[in-house]
Amino acid sequence: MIKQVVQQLVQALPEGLARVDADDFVWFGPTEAAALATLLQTAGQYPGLTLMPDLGQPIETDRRWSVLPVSWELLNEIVRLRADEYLITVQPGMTVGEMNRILAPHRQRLGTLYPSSRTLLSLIGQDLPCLTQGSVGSFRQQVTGIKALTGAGEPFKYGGEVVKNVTGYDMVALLVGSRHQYGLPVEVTLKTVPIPEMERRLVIDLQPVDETALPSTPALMSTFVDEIKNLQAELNTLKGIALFRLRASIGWKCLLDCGGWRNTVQPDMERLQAWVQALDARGPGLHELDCEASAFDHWLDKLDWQRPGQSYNLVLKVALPTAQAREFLVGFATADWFDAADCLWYPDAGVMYLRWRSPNYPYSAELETIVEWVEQHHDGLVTLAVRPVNIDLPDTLAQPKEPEAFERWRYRLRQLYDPNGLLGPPV
Amino acid sequence: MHAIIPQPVWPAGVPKGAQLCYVIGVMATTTPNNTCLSTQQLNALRQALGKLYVLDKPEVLKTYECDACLLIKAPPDVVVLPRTVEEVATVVRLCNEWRIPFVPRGAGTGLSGGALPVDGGVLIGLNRMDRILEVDAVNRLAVVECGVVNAWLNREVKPAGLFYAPDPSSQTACTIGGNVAENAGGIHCLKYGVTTDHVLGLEVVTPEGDVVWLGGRHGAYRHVNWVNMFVGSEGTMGIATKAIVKLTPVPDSVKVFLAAFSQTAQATGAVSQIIASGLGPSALEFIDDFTAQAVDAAFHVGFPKGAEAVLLIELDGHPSEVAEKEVRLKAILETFEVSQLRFATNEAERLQLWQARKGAAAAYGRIMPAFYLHDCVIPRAELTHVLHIIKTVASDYEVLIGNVFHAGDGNLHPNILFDPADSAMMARVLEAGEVILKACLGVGGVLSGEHGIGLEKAHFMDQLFGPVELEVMKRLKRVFDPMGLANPAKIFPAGGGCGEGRHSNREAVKAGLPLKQLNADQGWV
Repeated sequence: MIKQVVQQLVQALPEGLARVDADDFVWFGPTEAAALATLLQTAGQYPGLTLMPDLGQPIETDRRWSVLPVSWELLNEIVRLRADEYLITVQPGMTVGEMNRILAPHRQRLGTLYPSSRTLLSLIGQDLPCLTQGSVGSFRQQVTGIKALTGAGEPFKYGGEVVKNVTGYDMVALLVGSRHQYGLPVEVTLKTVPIPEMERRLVIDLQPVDETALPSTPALMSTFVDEIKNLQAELNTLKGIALFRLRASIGWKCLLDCGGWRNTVQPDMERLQAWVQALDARGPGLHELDCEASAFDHWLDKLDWQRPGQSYNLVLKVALPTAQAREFLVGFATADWFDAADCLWYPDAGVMYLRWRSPNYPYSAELETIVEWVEQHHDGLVTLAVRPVNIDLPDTLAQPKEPEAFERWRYRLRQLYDPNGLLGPPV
Repeated sequence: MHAIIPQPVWPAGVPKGAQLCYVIGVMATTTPNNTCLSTQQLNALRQALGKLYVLDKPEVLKTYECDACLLIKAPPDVVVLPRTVEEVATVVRLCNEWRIPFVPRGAGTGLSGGALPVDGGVLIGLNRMDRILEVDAVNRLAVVECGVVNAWLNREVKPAGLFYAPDPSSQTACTIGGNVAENAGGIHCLKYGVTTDHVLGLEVVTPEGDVVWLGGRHGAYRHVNWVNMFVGSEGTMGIATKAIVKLTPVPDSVKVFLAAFSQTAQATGAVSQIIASGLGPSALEFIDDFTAQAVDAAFHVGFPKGAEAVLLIELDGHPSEVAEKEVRLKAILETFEVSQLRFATNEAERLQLWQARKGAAAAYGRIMPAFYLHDCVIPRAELTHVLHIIKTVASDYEVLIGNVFHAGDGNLHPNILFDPADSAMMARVLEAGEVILKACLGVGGVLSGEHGIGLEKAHFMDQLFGPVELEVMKRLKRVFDPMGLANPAKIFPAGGGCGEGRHSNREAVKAGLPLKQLNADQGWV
């Protein structure tokens, strides 16, 4: 039945807008904003369909006839570069890497540091934290202008090529982080930053010895976390920092991004070397400093845990103020569930990710403990970073209790911005 | 500065005995005792808040009839001064029950008429909610009630080596709640960002009377960024009663430079070059000669005479970084015709320069009783072009215009001086303002960078947004405030459909006709 509806929709659309892949599944590839508007307006007349923005990765887990992928692959043009204003306007299908390549000849790049393969569309949908958030601000802060369409295909905009704006409601805030439930962006203006005269992107291997010889004791965690805090205070040109541990590799690592003028970065590098040597002298491990930019990029890419298409993992996003995050890391260091987790902490963004792979998922009761500790006792927030499949989640995670007003507002948002229910599950 | 005294024209159909007030030349009426609330309703408010904190005497209400935008006046029916969030919620619930509008107000330093109850109703003054509840130096945040004055918070956190970055010129009077409502900026937001970038969480009384926390100390959200959506919504989505704000470490080293230019174009060229160089100053302010002399006469800061423009440039950071930036700044300035370059040699001099900059509004008061201040933002590369237009407009309309603005952000502040008693001058001032705004929009600018749209600029919104775009934006109001009772008639031009105030005789206020048209059609001037 739904297949017939889709076929009717395809026939109703202008030629070239609908595509059919090798498996006979339909997807859409608008080449301009007007085509996307036509798609939304036309599809809205066929109940039961959902349009799913393709965030740059294959959609593997939800191939149903009623869920129709929309690719931004052809909406990836640069609209305008204002290098003198440190602004770039692009279509959201463009990747971070493409934007940085365009900016490079002007000695500029995006301030937020994300893996090159990420599309702007996915960043808008997910509002990801990043390594350099402490120095350049959140992703929301990078967006100065946006043009978008509601679920009914109506155009709206906010801001533009100006770096400051309070003209009307913040429609960027409506879209960023909303998982495209209230509108679809078609053009975005972003701030850029100058590429510093000198930059050093480094990986510190904090514990490269055999894990069995050096268990993750609270004392060790405490040392690491405090040492990172000291390091942050000591480096004047530090632009970004992340602390992480992957179970597949051994030990904790730290990513550092330093940049500035040559005569300010060089003293920092000397201080960093001294810090590593001091840590090495005190601790039982060998602490290494890998200054290869490729190593940094490798890890940055590996830490892209909220990448679409990876929904088979359980990934929690834990937002905590810095002091409470340190307490979390130290306090839970010996817990089995913590030991089984990959962990990534952006101290400046106040965000920590915990990821488990099958079959080491924590029990529902353990998840309940995490949520209770974070939300009820330590002023934090736990959310699911990606939608897990076949995992027994406690209600606190699956259906978090929120003020009734939020539910009302969300309902009205969907009613008003996606009246045909195309951009998500029906309200 | 003096209030504007409009020339009343009795409107057809309005009962004699009603008192008139004027809102941009449009008449609104109130009942003879200056309140539209019944005795029973007033008593209910008194019971909830205490007699002392419900104000309804006309002479007292006059205090609340305008904000710092002296073009617009609208006395409230009644003013309430709650002390707690529960009291605020009680008042809002009563307003819901009675279907009457409510308007939050901080210190009344707003510059767009945002806190004026033009549809009548209850004005909720948050000034008694003025406690700094917590300073958490470890997590670099503070929890404050929204009536806390911006400068008080900075005074409180300074010993911890921290500061609250948004610093509007009115920071010694304006409140954090007002800053949240307008998404206030200030001199240092060039580097540190505006209010929305510094708010982690808000306790809000919703237009339907619920008390909820948006965000929190964690600064995160589930799928909808309520905090960023609320900040800058000008009290139309509810009333913020507490805020959790970020605090920023005070930089190790700060240096302020004063550069004087014989020609405006040289100064704006330097601004573009400084921005393009990636130097990243923490402040970059433009002061024209007219303003510099006014400020100098008032504050004696020694601004150079004969220069068309002065730039105040602040560099901050680690001492080595500031030293490096200074070398590069001087190299840039050497390529322009700088008639004088000096820097504040100590903290006192630095503060004096900034106080003088922030005191420009007061300095204008020595020249003319009032001024009409615009707040448009343009691409910085267009500064030379638009300043030239402003100069031409001043000449064409025979008005005095002082320019003192956040050049680094492209956030213009043309101050058009006027004497409210001179109605012919008033007409020229309003027309000049409109021409300037249109020029800014013409180069890709926006209407406001930090003052908000309020009432004063609402009728310009349709010059920036098409009807569909405006309608889509307006829906956000309906999400939070389906009854349209929270600060109605703001932001959007007439016929908004958001507010359904019960005062049919105040519908004219919501008509929001263009100023020029009103002046011509209704014989106000």
